[in-house]
Amino acid sequence: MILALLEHQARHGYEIGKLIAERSEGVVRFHVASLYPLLYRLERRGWVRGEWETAGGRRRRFYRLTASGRKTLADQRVRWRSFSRAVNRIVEVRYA
Amino acid sequence: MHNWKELVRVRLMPLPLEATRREEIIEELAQQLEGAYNEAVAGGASDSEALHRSLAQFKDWEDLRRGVFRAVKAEELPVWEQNGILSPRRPVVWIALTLSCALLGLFGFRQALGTLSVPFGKNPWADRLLSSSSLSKIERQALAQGDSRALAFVALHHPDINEAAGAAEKAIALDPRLTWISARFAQAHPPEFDPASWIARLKTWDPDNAFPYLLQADQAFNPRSFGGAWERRGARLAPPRAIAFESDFRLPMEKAFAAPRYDTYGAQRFELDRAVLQQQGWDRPDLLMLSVESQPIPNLNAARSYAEYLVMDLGESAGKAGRKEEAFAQYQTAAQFGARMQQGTSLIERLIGMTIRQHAYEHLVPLLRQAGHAEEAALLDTSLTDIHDAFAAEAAQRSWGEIAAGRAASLVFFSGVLVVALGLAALGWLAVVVVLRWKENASSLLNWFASVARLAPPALLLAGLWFYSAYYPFMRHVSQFESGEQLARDLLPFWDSLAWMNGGFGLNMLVWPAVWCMAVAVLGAITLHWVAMRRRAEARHQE
Repeated sequence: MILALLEHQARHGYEIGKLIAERSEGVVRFHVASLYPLLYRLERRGWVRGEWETAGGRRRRFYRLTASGRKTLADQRVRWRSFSRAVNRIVEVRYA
Repeated sequence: MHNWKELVRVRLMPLPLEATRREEIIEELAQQLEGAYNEAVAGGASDSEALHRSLAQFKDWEDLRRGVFRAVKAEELPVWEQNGILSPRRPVVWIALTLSCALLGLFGFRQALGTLSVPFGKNPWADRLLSSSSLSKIERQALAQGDSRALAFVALHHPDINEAAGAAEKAIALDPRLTWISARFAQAHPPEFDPASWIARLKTWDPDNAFPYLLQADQAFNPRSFGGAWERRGARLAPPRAIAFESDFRLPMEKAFAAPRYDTYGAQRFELDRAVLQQQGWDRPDLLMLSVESQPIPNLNAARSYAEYLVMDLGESAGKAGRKEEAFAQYQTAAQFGARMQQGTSLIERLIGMTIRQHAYEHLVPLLRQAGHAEEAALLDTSLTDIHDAFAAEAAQRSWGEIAAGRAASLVFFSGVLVVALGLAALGWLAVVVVLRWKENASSLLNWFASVARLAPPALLLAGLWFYSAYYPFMRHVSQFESGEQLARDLLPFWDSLAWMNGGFGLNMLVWPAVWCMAVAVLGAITLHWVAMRRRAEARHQE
């Protein structure tokens, strides 16, 4: 999810947390306390890169996808689509 | 205006990262707090309410601190930097460890730990405490001190029968009242060891006792002579009774059944074992019980066969031939012997004694009625009812006792295994924590182990208390037992169940396979970890 949120633009931690809550309309509950360790782990793996930038007059740490992160996101999307299609085929079947 | 960075710093320190990285993380988390606070204020919340909501985002700062460190460094926070309740910096874990060690000061706990050797050991009595070397040491001390009882103890338990015989000679020479220990050698079979002289000695020393004669008869009741007797008599008689026609067996049996006493020296042996165990500092009822269990008793099947011979061959034949007095005498001999055997120290002797009596009474009652002795017949009828009741009571008592003891043994066994496993983990944790205190960056693997195993000391305390309380009902000093019978009644079902755990679960056979599996699992984990690290390094390199 985090990789997807960073696909088109760099975002800071607070924004990522807000976006997950908003876009999932509260269905996905993402605890903020686990967001930052997760971001640092993604950074360590080289999938995202964090940089300090100034926006709106204040310094924030923005995260953006690396090439490796983009490739991982593509792989995970393929897997997710395949998985969700399989689940849909099971749960959407109508019996006559 | 709140100092958000300070708020985070106070809660997140110490965070042993590079200073720049640490400050970045503090600033980023401070921004998260500030953002949530501003949003709450904009929503109409008061300052304190907004602050509360903001801080509520991070309920467990210790967990966050560990999570951040793990995410950044790919390893656990150094164990001596952890602030959790089970961190070595907190007294709780040390108190738990101290109390766990203090449990060792309890006699019952030490005795309970000793019980674990029963299910795991092949034969703890022979293999561990009473090994040849420990018995030889006792023998040397006993000779130096002129201690006849300790020598007799060696004679009774030494695994080498010739060494045991040597100790027995010395013990009897010092105190002839210990001649009863000769019984140990009376059940050996030639050519390895000739028991004849020991049986003869016992008969001379205790001529009124049936036991030496029964032992002598046992020598004839071995498969070879038994088989020969059966072949000679054909299939006319049931095999065990056929041997009664052999004089080597019948003559000593006649004397045994005529002897006024039946004593397998169980009481003497029990007292001697108990005294020497106490003298040696082995306050272990399990060892005392194993001693009682290993006590030689005559071949009760042979005695029962001879009783059947008296009743069914001699008595019935005489009765059919009209020689009622002779038949009465044969039944009476069998019944009296059964009554004497019933006074024996072991359950099996009591049961076989009752069986012999019962069989003899069942023949006596009609004979007495025919002879017009109705009152005596009624009296024996009452005795027969008593015997039936005694059998039923014995069966019921054993059945309930065995169920309860089996459940208790399961608790003792599983809690004991847990104590051993957690004890080893706690020892490992202690060693690693000490090493890491001395050298903080000794190894990330050691640090990981110390972090994971931090649960071991408090878990050990809980398991230790469980183990102690599970064993508590069976905790005894050997001095508290007055007889082997009492010991067997109180503890035998429990120890039998405990020993069954070994056979039932095959744990003794699983120890080494388990060690191998663990070794393979550890090697596999290390290999997987190495492969994963290498793949990550390659990915970074490509990036």
